[in-house]
Amino acid sequence: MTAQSWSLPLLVLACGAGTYVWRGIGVWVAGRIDVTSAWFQWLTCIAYAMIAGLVSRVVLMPVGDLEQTTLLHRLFGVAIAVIAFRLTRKNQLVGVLLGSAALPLLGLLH
Amino acid sequence: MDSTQPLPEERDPWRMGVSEAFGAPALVLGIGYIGYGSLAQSHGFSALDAALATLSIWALPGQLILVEMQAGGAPFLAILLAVVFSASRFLPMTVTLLPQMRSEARPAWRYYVASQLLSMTSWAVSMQRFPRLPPASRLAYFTGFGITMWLCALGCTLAGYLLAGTLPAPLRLAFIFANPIYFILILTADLRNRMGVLALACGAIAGPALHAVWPSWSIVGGGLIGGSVAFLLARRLA
Repeated sequence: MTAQSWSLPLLVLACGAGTYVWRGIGVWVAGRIDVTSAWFQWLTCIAYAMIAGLVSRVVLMPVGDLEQTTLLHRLFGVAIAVIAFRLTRKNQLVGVLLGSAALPLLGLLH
Repeated sequence: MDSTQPLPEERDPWRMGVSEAFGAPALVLGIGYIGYGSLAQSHGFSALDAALATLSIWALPGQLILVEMQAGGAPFLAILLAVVFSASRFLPMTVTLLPQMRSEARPAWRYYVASQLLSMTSWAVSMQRFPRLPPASRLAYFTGFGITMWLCALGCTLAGYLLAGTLPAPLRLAFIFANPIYFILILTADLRNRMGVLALACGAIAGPALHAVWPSWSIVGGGLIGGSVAFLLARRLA
């Protein structure tokens, strides 16, 4: 470790405070924006697109442990989760458990 | 569990938030934080520092950056900047969620406190939930949900810290994959809003596309580009 022991909690708290700055600015802007305006719709689109981009990136081009799995297996896992979710009247727990268990199982079977 | 059922009016919204956090949201979040806790342990963090990061940063990607960069010997300011920039998604998330919880009678500081509880999960769940909740109940629902998730993450950080190195590889793989699966399910649970569907589709294409050419800005850039294209398309079609 390069940081001295006293400076790690300080770094952690600084990161927490820095992250909060975005939240705080968001609350401030939220109080001054008209929710029926086009600006608000645009921001909502950005928020949804950002999360969707992050999630699809993890499935299509992952880094770390998921890199060892094939794209086909990951897409199968997603399909199993979505089908299970729809068949069980949108039970998230069933969808998540089956979909995520499918990935290592497909890898072992292959 | 069915997120599309109408809600019984007379239930206490705070308790409803707490009880809906238990189940898939807490499970997926818990799995992610077990991974984070064991990573922090293997990179020489104390349990206290790992827990402090969960409570103060409360954003898994930022915490992973902190642990990785700190272990890699990066300087204080570089780590701080990387973590803070990775959290910029909280700005549009807060701006779009907060007005739906607002009530004239409540003091503003309540919202500044509540915003610390915001996470990707509580945002995605609340965006789906709020239209079927009376506006006056929404802050209580969000707070109940958010505090439950926050405390669950704290417990799982410590559990992961203790479990470090004991998880078999297939289980670790399933744990990591649970996260994107969960978000795909909650984001696509209700596809009736055309602008929302377009935003999801455009973002799902723009994010990875931008990641291939400009990885460090792919989240923000992909959101800006994908979201703007979706917004313009939806207006054109309307």
